[in-house]
Amino acid sequence: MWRILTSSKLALWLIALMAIEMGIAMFIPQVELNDPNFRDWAMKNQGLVPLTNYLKLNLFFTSPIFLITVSFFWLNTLCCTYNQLIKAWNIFSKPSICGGKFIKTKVNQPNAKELIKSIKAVLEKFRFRVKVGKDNNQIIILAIRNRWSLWGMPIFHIAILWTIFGAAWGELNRVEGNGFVVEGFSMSEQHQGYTNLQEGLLFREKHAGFEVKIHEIGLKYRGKIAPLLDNVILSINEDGQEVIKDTLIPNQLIEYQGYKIKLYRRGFSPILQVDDGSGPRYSSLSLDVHPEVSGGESYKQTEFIVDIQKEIELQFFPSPPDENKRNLEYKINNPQIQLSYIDQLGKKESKVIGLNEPIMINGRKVSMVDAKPWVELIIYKTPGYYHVYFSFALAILGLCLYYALPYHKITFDISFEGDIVGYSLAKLKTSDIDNRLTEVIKAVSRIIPEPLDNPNRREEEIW
Amino acid sequence: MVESWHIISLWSGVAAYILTFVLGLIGRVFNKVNLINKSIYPLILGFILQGIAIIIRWVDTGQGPYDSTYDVFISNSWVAVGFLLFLLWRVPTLKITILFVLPIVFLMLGSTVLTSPILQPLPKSYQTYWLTIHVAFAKLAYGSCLVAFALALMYLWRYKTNQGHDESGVTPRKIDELSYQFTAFGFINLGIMIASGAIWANNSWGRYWGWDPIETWALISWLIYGIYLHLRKTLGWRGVKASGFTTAAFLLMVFAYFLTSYIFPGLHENLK
Repeated sequence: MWRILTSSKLALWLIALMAIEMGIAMFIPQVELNDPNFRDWAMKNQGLVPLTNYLKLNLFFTSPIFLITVSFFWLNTLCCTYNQLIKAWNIFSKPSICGGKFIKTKVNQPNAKELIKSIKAVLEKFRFRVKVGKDNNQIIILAIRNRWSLWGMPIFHIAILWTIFGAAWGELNRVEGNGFVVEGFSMSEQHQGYTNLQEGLLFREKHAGFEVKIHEIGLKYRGKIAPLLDNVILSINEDGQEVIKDTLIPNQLIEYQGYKIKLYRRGFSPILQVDDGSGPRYSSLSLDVHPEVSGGESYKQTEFIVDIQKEIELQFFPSPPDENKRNLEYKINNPQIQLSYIDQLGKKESKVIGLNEPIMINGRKVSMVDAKPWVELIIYKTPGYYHVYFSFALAILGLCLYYALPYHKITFDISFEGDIVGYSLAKLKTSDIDNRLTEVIKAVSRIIPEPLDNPNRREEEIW
Repeated sequence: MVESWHIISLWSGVAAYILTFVLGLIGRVFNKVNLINKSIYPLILGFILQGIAIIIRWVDTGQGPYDSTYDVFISNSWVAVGFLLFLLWRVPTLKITILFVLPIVFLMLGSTVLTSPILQPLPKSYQTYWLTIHVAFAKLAYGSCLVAFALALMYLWRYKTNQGHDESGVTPRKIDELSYQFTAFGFINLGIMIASGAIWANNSWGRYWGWDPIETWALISWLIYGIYLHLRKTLGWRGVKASGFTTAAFLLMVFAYFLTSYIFPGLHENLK
């Protein structure tokens, strides 16, 4: 079992499997990423929808298939890293047991002690830590440099483990939501039958125990393009008490209890009243504002379902001020909306209405009672991101240690027999051709009468 | 006027690259080592001219070479030539690599004709130093992996034509090793690119990872290169197998980098 868990082949298969799974998942629109795309895809590939839903392929990155693969990979990496740590520690603490290419040759040397001294001097010049040991008729020179790089790979793998741990931790504790908040309202505030049609995950903030209220939205007029969001006055309330009141500008954050609140988009919201005889109900329409819209008058059409269960097309005319008066405060004057709807006979009708100008649609009285700006807020809390950032730094450190500072070890095992010195050399390499080590070998070769690349040498792989 | 200087400088650089390639090709076909050696001079000239073209545009528009496909192609090809020059500085006898790298550079520069050089104003989320870090490391990663890919192709070509040592005196083993070194360097830079992108995303979009198509494909590329490095270290893959893998990994990365923006909608729309 341990052999399987520490198998690097298994690690390779698992990495490959993860890569393949991610690649396949990219061909299916992911719901979290882009819901409308998935709906289009599902319409075109109806035969695949049951399988997709069963295997959660449209939510692939939280699906059991992917999570199981990642879990196995994590376990395998953990076991392999443990092995690497043991191995690195053994080499680090007892360097003589490491191997490499072992070269044995015999050279004539009348003055062996001088030779040892010269070798030591050359190695020290190349920043090697040199130790000389004597044993009867034998002298061992052990030279090591960059031994910290032995920790490079274990550190890198620990970083990978840490990244996955951080991501999982963050995912489990994450809060993320966005919501359209109309001026004068708080995110979770209910207003009779008020329905925010695009609430998304916004009400997760209820669990955080605080409320965000938008007091005022400052917009600047910019001529024929959509108005500029200038600033927003908002407050954070806890148990009905105002804790923070601040002015937020785009690209700034407000942090509260680890939650970050950020402005995202802005638009206008005509508030419609629908009365079918059982009392008025209200609906807010979040109309997007697109800079590419010409004339500064018409805005993106949106879907609006009152309870007629028919699509109503809208256009919003907020009567922009004078073209020349840029950067003025933007106020909505005499708003009008164009309501397009399908009547009971199935005929498409279209009418423009202003404030408090009710019209009858299929037996219901529909009127625009107000028009206010809205902002979309993003609220998020990603508690795992410090782990992830730290692991990134650790991974880069590990890779740099491993590749930029290759571990080099040379051992000279010298024995005296009269005036003949026999020596062997072992070097540990990071790569096949290491110019930096070759330089050292060349320098040592110069002081040994017979070069190390003697054709009669005997090489042994002692890995 | 400034734009004209950009275009003149850029296409003069391209002309210098074409001259480099022609000299290298003639040298190779007619076995004129002297010509191959001399091809380095127009290459350096082209590199300088292309660099000037990038700087002119940067100063003129006030936006770095990252906002449009036009700029991305020009700057990435420039970085790739930079890596090629670095390789030739380290191993001067390997000038034949020019014949493998320049065609890819020509493809990238040729593609700029099909793209629009008009720049859109940078969104607020782009006005951060993380963008510089992210883009810089992306360019280093792709430039280095491109040279690794060219070296792998060269190895495979030599293997196919049964060439051992050629007139350059560089052994296939050395080419394989160089390809590995460039890949390892690319792998580190790719990692930093992904990490810096994640930090930037967290600051801009409120999450460090969102499985956006290009994010995911970049991660897939990184994993594939990770497999390559493991195969080399633990299973001892060398030579044809390793070079074949490097070639495939690079093609996948090209797919991840450019084509995903066209095929899969996501947040990296500016790469279109």
